[in-house]
Amino acid sequence: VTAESGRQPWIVYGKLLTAQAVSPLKPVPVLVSLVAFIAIYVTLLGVFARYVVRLVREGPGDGPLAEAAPRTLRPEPLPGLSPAS
Amino acid sequence: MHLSDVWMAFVFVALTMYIVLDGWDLGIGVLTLLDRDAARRRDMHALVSWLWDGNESWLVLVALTLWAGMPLVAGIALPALYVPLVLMLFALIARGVALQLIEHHDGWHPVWGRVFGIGSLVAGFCQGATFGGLVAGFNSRGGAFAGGPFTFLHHGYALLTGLTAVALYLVAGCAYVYLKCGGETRRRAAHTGRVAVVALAAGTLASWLLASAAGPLTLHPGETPRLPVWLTGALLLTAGLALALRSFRSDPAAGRSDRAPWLATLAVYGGGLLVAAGLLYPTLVPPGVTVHEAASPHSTLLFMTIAMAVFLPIVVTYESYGYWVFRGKVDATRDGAG
Repeated sequence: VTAESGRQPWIVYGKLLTAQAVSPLKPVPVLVSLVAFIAIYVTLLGVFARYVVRLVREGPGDGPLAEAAPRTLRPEPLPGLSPAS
Repeated sequence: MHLSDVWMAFVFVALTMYIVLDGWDLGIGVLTLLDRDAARRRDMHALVSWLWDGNESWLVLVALTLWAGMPLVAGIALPALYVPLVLMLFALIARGVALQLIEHHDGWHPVWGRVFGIGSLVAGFCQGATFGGLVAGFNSRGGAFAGGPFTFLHHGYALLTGLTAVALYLVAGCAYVYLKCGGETRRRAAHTGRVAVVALAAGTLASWLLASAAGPLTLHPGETPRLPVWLTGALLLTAGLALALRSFRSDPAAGRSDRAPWLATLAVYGGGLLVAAGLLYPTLVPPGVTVHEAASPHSTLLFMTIAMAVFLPIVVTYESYGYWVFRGKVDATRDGAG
């Protein structure tokens, strides 16, 4: 934000105005694509969060990390969070 | 020979590398939509999963070489092709995420598997539509695109080239599976490959005949330097299609000709690119914008050409190494095991 507000209305400072550089696109496709971009990335953020939560709930299991972590330091899984077993 | 021609050669190399390399993995994506067996889909996914992002890096190079070296083309073509290009980006994003998520799942994930397939299909289609829209030509005014968001369709011509691109990538995907897999996976790829070759031949012929009718493009195929180039390309293309049709064999005993469909696909790519280059060069955005008009100033091109001369061989080397590491067949013994 600092960089942009300091530079505007120039896109290349002192050489080219943003208004001169902008593509001759109609507003509707730009708006639709912007909304679609936001929707896709929000969806992916949700997918990523779900995936991470699931990984954490499953815990290190019998993998190499389970060996690395000292047994005494590993917390007991909470009853509500344990994987369906 | 001007430096802009050298730079155009970089664009051409990057484009060729992209469609040859990403073509097969997009095609395999489409192929997973046509197969219901989880083990075979998983094998096809295994073929793609290690190499697709390296393949797609060439698309970035195409975009950047055009943008940096041919700014006028980027200025006219990107707004004109905004709709198919943005759709292609969405498809590639979804497909990439799906590829990664399938990897972390045992077996074939029904939802992400579908996303991978449909993303591949849409990406291939949009690339074909972009090509058709560009080749048919755009009217520009003062270095800017003058038209609407759907001008690129050219009364449906871009849809035809989109479908042709899907057929092309499907042929490439089948040829790659034919090369890298065995058993039932290979047999099915041979069958689908033959159908796709016929569709590709029809689509190519129609795209060629209708190109001048679709937009402001005018071709002069009879000019002396053009004629031998595009005729050679057309012969190579035809020979490639014929060889592909013959060499996709369902007979599992014909193991020796595993490479033949893939070599045929390369001939199809090479022939098609020669036809396009021979008919269009030096025009980049028909009807009027040429390579020389569109190029950046000489000093910019010189600076970037030196950088490209260093980095292009490096990229080619490490990508070749990746293919070499994963040479040979994928595990086909799991075929039919469920």
